Amino acid sequence: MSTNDTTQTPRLPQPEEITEREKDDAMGAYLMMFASLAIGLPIPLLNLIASMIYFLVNRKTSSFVAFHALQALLTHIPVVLLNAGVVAWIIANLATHAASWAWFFWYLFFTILVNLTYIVWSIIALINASKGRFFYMPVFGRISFARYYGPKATRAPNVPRVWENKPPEGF
Amino acid sequence: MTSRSRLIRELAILAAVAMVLGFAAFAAQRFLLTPRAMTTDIARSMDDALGPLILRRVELSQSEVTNPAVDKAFALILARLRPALVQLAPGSPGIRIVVIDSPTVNAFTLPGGIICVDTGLMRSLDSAEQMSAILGHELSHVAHRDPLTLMARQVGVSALAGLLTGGHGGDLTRTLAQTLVSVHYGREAEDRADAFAVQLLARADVAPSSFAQALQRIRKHEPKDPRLVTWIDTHSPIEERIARAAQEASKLSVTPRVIGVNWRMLVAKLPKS
Repeated sequence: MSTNDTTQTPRLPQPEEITEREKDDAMGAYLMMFASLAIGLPIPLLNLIASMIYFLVNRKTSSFVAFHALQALLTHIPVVLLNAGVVAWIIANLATHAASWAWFFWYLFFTILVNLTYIVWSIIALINASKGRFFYMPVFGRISFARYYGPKATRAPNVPRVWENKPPEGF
Repeated sequence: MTSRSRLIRELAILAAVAMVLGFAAFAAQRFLLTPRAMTTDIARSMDDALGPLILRRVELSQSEVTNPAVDKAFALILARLRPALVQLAPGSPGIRIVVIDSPTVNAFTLPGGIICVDTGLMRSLDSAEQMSAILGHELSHVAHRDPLTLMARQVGVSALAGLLTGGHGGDLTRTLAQTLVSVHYGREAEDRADAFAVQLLARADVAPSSFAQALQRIRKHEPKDPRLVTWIDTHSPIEERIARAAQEASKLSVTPRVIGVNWRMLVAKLPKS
């Protein structure tokens, strides 16, 4: 399938068509995740609620913002759950005098690495969003795209031109 | 390629990334945190000096039972276990047993081969064989220097050294004593100690099934754990430990020789706590 086949691919907004406001809001979704991640570390599940509120408020702005906000939220969920696990494990270990921290440290290191990966990946997405581009993280990007630009979403009319913003490969 | 197969490929990519990160974390945990290597670096004289110091702390809150019959019984048990211990772990320090007047069902090890046994534990057991099984478990902690490892991990070697030169007040000794009384050394050390106990019994011509029996007796006195505790607790659930001990014991064929101690009579002589 050609990527310029306008009958198959949904019409995507191109960078110059996206307003500065939309770019800022889409970038804000990722920034919001970082902020809530840092603030919510002691009580990790609370920052998930903060992220969800940001998504719910901003998804009405435009499909572009909604796509990035949903992608940010979806990637945020596994990271927050892992972080919550660390806090729960520490509390449980302190409460029960269990002295083995060996597997805890494995889990802690794993969580730190996942967090770093998530942050790097999110920064790439953030830069793309601030320039009005689409960026697809594996799986989550696909789910989010299908939600706002997939067959069940309302599409903009087809305009014949060379697309800079493309759907994920093979979509 | 269809959209679905692309999704599956991306899921595989995510899984691969998670596996790589998991392996990296495992390597980091393995090579950055190696407490066992740390222990062997600490001189044995540290164990010998710290043990009595902490024992004195324990004896401030709980009294030692001094009874010639009890001493004789433990001397008999140790005389049987000692040759087996030397075989299994050459270079183990001399063992001193301290019986503590306390209703809790507990035995714990202090550095330098001091093993404390609560009278509550003695009451809950049936025979000297079961007592030697529990001692076998504790002897593994002695042989592998688990108490010192834990203390060094907890407060650092320099703090322990400071303790010996009188640099710290009594607070640190109290903390350490409290820790050692109620501690589990972690699943790995505890499982190793269970296996060690069974092997030790077999070599000492004591029925190796005594260890499973002793655990059975202890289980009756264990407080029921709430669910949250059981899945993160480092001690294997006691049923699992009993099953494993019984299985290991069944592999060994031993003609047991009786330890000449009338346990019921001995327990009757203990002070009422």
